[in-house]
Amino acid sequence: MPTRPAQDLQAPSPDAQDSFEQLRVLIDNIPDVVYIKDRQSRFIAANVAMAKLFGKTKVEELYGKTDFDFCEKALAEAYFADEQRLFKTGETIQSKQEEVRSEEGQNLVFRVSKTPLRDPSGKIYGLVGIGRNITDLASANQKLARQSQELKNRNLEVEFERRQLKTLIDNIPDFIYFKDRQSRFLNGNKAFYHSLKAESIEAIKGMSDLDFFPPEEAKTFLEGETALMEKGESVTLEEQGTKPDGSPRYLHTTKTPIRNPETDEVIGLVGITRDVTEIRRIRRELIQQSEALKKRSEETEFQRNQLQTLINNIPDFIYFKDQQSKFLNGNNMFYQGLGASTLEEIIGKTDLDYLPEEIATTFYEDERQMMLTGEPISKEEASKNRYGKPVVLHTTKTPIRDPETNEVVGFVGISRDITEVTRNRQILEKQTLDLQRQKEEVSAALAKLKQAQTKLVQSEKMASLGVLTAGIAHEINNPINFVYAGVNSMVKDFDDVKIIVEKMRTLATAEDKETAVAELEKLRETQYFDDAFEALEETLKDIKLGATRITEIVAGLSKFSRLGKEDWQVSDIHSDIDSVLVLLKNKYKTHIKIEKRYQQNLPRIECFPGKLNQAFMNILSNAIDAIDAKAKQGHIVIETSHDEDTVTISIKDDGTGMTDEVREKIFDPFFTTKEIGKGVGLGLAITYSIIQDHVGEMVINTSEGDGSEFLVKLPIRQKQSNKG
Amino acid sequence: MSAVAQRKYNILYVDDELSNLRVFKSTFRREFNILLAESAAEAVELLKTNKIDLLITDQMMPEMTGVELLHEIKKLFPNIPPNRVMLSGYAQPDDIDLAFEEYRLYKFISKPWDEDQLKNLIIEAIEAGNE
Repeated sequence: MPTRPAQDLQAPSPDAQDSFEQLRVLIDNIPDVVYIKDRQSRFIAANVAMAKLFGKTKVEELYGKTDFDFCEKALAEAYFADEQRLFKTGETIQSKQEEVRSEEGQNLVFRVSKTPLRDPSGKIYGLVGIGRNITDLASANQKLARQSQELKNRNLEVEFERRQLKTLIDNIPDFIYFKDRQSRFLNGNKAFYHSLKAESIEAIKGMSDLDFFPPEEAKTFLEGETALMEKGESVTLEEQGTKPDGSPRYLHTTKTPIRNPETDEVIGLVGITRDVTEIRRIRRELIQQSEALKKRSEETEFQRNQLQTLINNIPDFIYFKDQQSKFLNGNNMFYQGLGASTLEEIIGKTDLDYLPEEIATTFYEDERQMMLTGEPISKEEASKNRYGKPVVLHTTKTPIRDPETNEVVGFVGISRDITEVTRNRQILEKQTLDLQRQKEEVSAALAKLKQAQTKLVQSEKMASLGVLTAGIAHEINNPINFVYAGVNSMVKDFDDVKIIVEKMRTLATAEDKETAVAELEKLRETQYFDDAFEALEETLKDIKLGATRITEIVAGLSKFSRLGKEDWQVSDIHSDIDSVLVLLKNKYKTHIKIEKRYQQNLPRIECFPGKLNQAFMNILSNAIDAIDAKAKQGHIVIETSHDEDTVTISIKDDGTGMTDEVREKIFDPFFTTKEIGKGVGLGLAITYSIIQDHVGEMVINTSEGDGSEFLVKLPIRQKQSNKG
Repeated sequence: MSAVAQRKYNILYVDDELSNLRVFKSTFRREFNILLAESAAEAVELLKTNKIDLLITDQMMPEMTGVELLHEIKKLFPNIPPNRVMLSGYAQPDDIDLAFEEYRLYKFISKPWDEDQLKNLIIEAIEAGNE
């Protein structure tokens, strides 16, 4: 309890000496400092506490002195200024804190009240001051103030942290929520109330899952929470829910019970729920992808194994070398081919370690060249196998480039042993050459044969022409003879007749007509007039006959001569056979009777008349020859007939006929029964081919000794395909 | 010419072509006495009944050729002179050779004949045979 300062302190009256003395003891025993100062702030009275404060034991030591005598100047000035203001204004200084330095050098704090002292006229003559040392109190207060400030700061920090936390929590995409013991919502972050379509947490406070989820689901949630709160343990679980659109939703939730810190009783829970639907989907996809990847990687591995197995089992040498042509890798065939038993044995080595120097050097130079140019090599190489036997390899070397720098870092080589192949190829080439030569020989022989055949056909033709020539010469010379000699004889006959005719001219003018007639008559006898006249008539006929015969022969000949390329023509078979007979007449007329049994109105047929004439010529010639070979006389019957499509010509002789052996061969080229010079044996072969050209048939009926019949059947009309 | 005037030579011409026969006769009937035969057989008959100074024959004839006729004549009349001329369009050389050697053929002439040439040959052949 603060001590009130003494008021109205006046110099004691003598009457009140004792009470003054009591007061004096009292004042001196007060722990507060008490003093009186005059208008100049000089101490006129003070108590012990005051003196003590300035380090004095007797109060009298202070009297007449000022604060300047005891205090630091700055403090003294401050006190002095306050006091002078008090004297001037008369206002009391109430409870002002003043700092004081004690005699011991201690900083002390005093709460000071200063009250003016007035004389009875009211004039201020001094002041009374009371100061209480509140140094301890001040420091306690200061501490308090400091603590309070700290608390305030702390509160600010807490508030800031709270706001940060709230912002953080509100912005966390997970649902964070607090529920009470009955699982009613107490609080929650934005994500939480937004997920429940609420604008603020206040809107849903007091509600529960039952208000938002299908009853079954909500019930499950609530039961879980109740159990959790009863057990008092936090739980992390995957929950399955349903989205407002009905699609499934997966939630990952951690729920932790909240306890009353004092009673340790569970009063609610805090939950953090994360919607993992998307995560689950992504994770599922990831798993699928990863599985696919794994599968692919397994496949790749499998394929790699397959490849490795394949490469190892390829019977070619496959190898990888680095830039220095050192072996990096190779298949079984390769290292075994070098005579090594494992792949490791050869790695880092070069061809020089395994092959003769010359061969290895050649390979090395090739490879250097390839490394420089980057151009792959594909060539045949001579090498030696591990037993030192020379082999031929077909080798392909392809540079391998660093995918980033594109620099050639090595190469892969594939070499195939083609020694055997090469040998076979050489043999084959030789065989091919031989074949080629043989083919050329055959070609040459064939060409010769063709030439010979042409010659033979020609000579056959010439032979038959030769046979013809005799007859034709005779046949043509006879009629020429009629004409030539006939004309000459006509000239003579005409001369004879002319004499008579001229004599007859004179008859009309003759004087003696009788004599003239008689002379004419005589002249007629002597000049063979009748003979000449008769001869003239006959010779004229003979000349005409001769001319006709010549024309016929020439026509026959010209038919026969068209043996080369000719066009299809419609021709009369009878007239064709007749022309042939004209040409052959000389051959048969002395001893063979030809009997023609031509069918009337035989259709003309489409044919090559020249070729057909040659065919008939050959058949008829043979018939004549067959008769000649047998007897002096003979018969040939030529008979024709036809049906709708075909004309049949039968040429039948009564000559020698044929043995079966001859019969079988008569169409063979070069088969002949005739003496040399009378054809080369192509006659019937050619005939056969001519009939075939006409899509006809030829049948031979023969028996030895009785003659032969050649039956030729020819289509009346040729098919377009044949004519083409 | 007096010889000619005295008697015409008898000439027998054998040919299977009537025209040949007629033209021959027309040409030479003035100088010679011409006998004609259409075949060898007919010629042989004429030879039996006529004195023939010269025989002219064709070669290629049916039944009996000229050469065969000559052969026949040699057989039938061994002693008559070799007054034989063959007049033919064509004949096998072998046959003709045989005729010259064996059958006293005087000459072979190819048809067609020339009047003057044949006439001279006829006279020449007859005179040669008569020597």
